[in-house]
Amino acid sequence: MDIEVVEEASGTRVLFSGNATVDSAARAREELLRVLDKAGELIIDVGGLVKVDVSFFQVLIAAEHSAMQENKSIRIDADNPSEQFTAAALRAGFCHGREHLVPNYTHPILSEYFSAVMQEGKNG
Amino acid sequence: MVDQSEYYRDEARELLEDIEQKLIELETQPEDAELLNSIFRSFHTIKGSGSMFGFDDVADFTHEIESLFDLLREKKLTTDKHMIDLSLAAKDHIHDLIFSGEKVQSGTGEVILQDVRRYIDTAMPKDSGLQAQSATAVAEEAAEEPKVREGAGAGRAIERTFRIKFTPQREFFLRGAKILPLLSELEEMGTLLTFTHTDSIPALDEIAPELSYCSWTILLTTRLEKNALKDVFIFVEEYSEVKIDLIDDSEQLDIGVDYKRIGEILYEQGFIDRTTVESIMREKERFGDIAVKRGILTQETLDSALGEQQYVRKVRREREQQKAGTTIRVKSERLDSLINLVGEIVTLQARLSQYTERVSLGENMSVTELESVAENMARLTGELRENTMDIRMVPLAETFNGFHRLVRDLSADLGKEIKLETYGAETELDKNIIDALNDPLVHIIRNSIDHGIEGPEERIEAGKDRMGIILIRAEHFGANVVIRIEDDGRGLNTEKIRRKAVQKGLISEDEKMTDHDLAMLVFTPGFSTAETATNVSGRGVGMDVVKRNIEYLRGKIDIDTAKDIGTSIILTIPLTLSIIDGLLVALGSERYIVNLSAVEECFELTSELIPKKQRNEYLSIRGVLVPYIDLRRLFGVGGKPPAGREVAIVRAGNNRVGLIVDTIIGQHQTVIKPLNPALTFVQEVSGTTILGDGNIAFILDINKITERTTIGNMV
Repeated sequence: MDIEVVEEASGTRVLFSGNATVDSAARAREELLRVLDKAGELIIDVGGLVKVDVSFFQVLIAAEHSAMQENKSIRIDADNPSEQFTAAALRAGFCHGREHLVPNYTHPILSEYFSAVMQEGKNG
Repeated sequence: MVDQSEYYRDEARELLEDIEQKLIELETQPEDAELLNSIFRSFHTIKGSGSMFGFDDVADFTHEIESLFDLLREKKLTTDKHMIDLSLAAKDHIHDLIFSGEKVQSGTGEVILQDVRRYIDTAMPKDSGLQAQSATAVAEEAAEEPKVREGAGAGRAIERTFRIKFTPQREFFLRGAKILPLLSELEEMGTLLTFTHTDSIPALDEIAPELSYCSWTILLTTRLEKNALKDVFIFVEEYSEVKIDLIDDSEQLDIGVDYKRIGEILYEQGFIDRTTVESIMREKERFGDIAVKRGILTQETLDSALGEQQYVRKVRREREQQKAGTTIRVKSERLDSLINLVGEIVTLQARLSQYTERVSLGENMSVTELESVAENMARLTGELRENTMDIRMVPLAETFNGFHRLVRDLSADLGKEIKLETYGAETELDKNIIDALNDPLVHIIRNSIDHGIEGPEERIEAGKDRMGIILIRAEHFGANVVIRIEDDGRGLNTEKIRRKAVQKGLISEDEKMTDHDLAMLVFTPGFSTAETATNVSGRGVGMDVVKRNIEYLRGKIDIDTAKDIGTSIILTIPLTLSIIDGLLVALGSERYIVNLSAVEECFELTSELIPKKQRNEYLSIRGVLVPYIDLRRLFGVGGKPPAGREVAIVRAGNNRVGLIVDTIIGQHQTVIKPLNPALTFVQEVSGTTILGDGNIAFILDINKITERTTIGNMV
């Protein structure tokens, strides 16, 4: 997995690409810890991911907990979605597809990403 | 505009039913070329019309099945049980493709086609070109067993929803196990709704990213058995906890659309204990709001319970809609006669308009003319009613035909040899009643196969034919249809029933009961003498539910059993649910309706009818004592009863009872309206109707009223 950090006007963008699986979960955590320590607003960019498993979602949710504790913000960029990321989140039940609108169950960290992906039909 | 595909669905439904019936006939008459031809033609029509109406998947699939029948017609293959099994599975799959659409499990059709190709390969003579061609296709596929067969033996497809609680241990990932492939495998088994529980995930500085913190609640609607679901987790069971519960079963009777309450779901899922549920239930606010506010649950957990509630309701609603959306074919002569009647009514209306016009112009019209219009109107309304009811009447044949498959598959599963014979399939009943009868009948037949009829060896030992028989007879009996389901099995063990009833505290040890009374105990809720529940009938749905369903149709259920000879279940069902000929009676200012078919005779209540010795208990009708009920007292009607009261003698089953009323007003065509739910506690009333003057009359439940007299609870 490759991780790139880019400073932008709206916050710090962390770009993940390649395989976000359990083998690279520790790296993802370290990098997010490091960036979160410095930045106030984190933008997670999953556009380059080709393989995603549950461990990556766990790290993202952990990052959300930390951000909340430190009064910082973290969001997943819906403008650059990844088909694999979306499919894995749906399959693992972190979010429900359009057919299950009530209750509209989506994990908070994914809600912005998914509402955009589902409404606009964007899917990488 | 009418959806054209609906025409196709209607036609296909009939063809598929015909195919099933003929396949079962073909099994016993494999040489019957006309049967083969007919099945081939039906598949061919389904295929041809399928592509015309855009059912391409149906057309593609049926094409290969049609080829199989082509080979059979050309005698390149011979008919055997395996071929019938395959064809029935193919027929079921075509039905699913047409009626379940996107919900059909992916890969099911391919599995069946592989089986068909494999069958052709093995059954065809070795020098056949087709065999060589097909063998190549088969060689490409591993010889895996079809997954879809586990639901077989049920006759009709049974769909169940399971709740799978999956909790991997922390070191799950460290063992090389993955979660998404498991979920993906489950996805292929049916319709899935997955909820992840992430509450255990710590913050970033505390998380060990290679450990597993999540757990899952997975709702899966499938035709597979629980064991198939368990198999998915077989390689990870050492380092995870898997709990699978059945939460909805399409075979379960009388469940309606509603589902468990949130507290109950959360308790079942292990998120909350019973005491907490009960304490929150006592509060006025919504369960979930309180539980989240008090920190007992997280919003995420609550959402998963709400999700389960709504998901199961949705599954049930869709099932109900599927049932309700059915159409009926009406003989054209019935429609012609309806049109004639409408024509006559139009003419009569013109006569009436003319009459009023002439009256308004000051012409002195005779009442006789108006009376004649009224008489004609009464006649036409009656005929229109009869005719419209007739349109809703359909023969039982369709329902009976489906049972041949049920008996065939179930008896094979249980290693029994059972033949089903049906009589009176032409008997007609209201379409709604026929639909509602299917599930109770299936349950009764299942019971006969499972518990009633013995295995071949046991039957031979008992001096019986190795082949057991289930007979279903239907016949008209007044305003009812009587359906008898008889088996020549071992009969009910009334001694065992007695022991069980005593054990359950339903009767005392020394209570004297006839064999019939003991047998009737099987309809008591929670009563089951089976030592272990079986796959066939032991799904926790008892005969009590069957009885409730029959009573819901305003019918009656009875049982007749003899040890080693067999058991008969007798259902008495009214012909229609919506209109009855009623007898309107008055009690003070209130009006009541008695079903006219139950009324034997009416007369004035004179003092000679009440013998002195039998005062307050019996009437003496031409020397015969008949118990009576004073409806005034039963319904607590106030005021003084008028002089010259009247009595209607009614019959329900073997019971005759006199109903004492103030006045018998006369015959009344009664359109039945269901009882307001707030009044369902009034057991003696089964519905209401609106009278010509706009007032409401209650329809008396004669069965319930006559039961009162037989249990010595007389007024």
